[in-house]
Amino acid sequence: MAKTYIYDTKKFSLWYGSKQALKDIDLKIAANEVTAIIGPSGCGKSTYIKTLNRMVDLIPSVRTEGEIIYDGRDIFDKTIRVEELRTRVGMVFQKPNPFPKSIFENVVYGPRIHGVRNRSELEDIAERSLRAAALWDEVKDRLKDNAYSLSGGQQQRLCIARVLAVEPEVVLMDEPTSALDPLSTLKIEDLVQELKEKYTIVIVTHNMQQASRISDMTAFFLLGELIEFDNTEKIFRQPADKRTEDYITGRFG
Amino acid sequence: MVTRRTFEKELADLHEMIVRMGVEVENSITDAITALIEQDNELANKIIERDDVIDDLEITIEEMCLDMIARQQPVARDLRDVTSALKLITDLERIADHASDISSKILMFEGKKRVMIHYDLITLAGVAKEMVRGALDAYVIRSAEMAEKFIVMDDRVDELYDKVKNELIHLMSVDPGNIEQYVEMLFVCKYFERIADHAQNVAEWVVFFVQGKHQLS
Repeated sequence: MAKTYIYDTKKFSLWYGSKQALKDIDLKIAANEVTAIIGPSGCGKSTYIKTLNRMVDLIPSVRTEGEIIYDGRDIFDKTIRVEELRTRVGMVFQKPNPFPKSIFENVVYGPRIHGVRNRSELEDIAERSLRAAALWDEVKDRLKDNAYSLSGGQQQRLCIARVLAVEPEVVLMDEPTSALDPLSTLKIEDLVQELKEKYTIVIVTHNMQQASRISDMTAFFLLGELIEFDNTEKIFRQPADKRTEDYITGRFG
Repeated sequence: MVTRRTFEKELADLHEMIVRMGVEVENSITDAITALIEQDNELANKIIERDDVIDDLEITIEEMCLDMIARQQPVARDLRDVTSALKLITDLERIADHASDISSKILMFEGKKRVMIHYDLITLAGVAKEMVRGALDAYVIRSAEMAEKFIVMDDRVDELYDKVKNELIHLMSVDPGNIEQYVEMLFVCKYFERIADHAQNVAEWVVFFVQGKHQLS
């Protein structure tokens, strides 16, 4: 079956001031797949994922070349509305960052901003999103509690629910489990497998086993370059590039 | 390579243990050939005893591999290293079993009229032994090219087996009084032929380890 690609990165380079962080990246991200991005610190993987919804715009002195096609248009095109892009491409961060509000208000924050006022509609969205984030059963009786009363793993799933509430197409995850205990990590990993049915997931992870467990495709970045991009089985069984092999087997760190 | 010093040490230990097991297995084949030619019952008994040593080595190596998988979660080349070791020791253990089976047959010849050992059977046993040694050497130096040379030798073993078998069938018809010895001799021949098959497998695991794919036969 031919894949549908949601992102097509073409000859994309990025500089922070005079320092080049991404070099000539060519990378296609397929819809309804989990794409993992691995590589040592400073390899550009976080920069790349933050570029996909233009979070890098927030950093001054960023300059780019090449293009990233999303839905038929370059995301850096003047006609792109960044807010709309970030609605369609949600992001989950390393540390759970719930708002200091109730669980319910956290989830419906996005829909509220987008003008949903009807209480029962908001309740439906909250339930649907919390269910999709595999959190509903744990919080359904305490939706009015402050989000900070949840455990770290629950907070992270709440953040995922918050992203899902605005019905994105893509969910970007920047090391979403690095601050979580192993059990919470496995819950998020299971969740990722469920989410890919409906969404496209791009995940940056330092945990190589995690990449091998949950992703369909794996990209290996090194010093701003995309070294290898292939099926995850191929990358972890027989990578084509020696640098990939050295990294995943821990021969350099 | 500071980051994986423990793992490197474990891999080196694993390779060393496989070589140790390989040496024991090679000795068993060499001794089996000698014991067969010289009807040396003492040597045959030694081979049977050595089989326990080889079984123990297999279990030890298997545990080393399982520990490494559980604790180091090897990937890529390392994963092939550990999995090919796991598979290869099964073949080595089977080779030792067959050397032991041959020894049992040698002990059965005792007290019966000696029948001629066909020249091609000795040749076949020699080729099988050479294949085991060659496959292990290829393992030590990690050479797929060398392993492949020994993989193709199995065809020669199969040819020799057919020749010996036909000769033994002929002898059974012309010398029916000693048919039991000929039947046992056919078993001996079959065991050597199986040893060559397992040596071929060992060589194929070497190719798998180096190239990451199975040799297409």
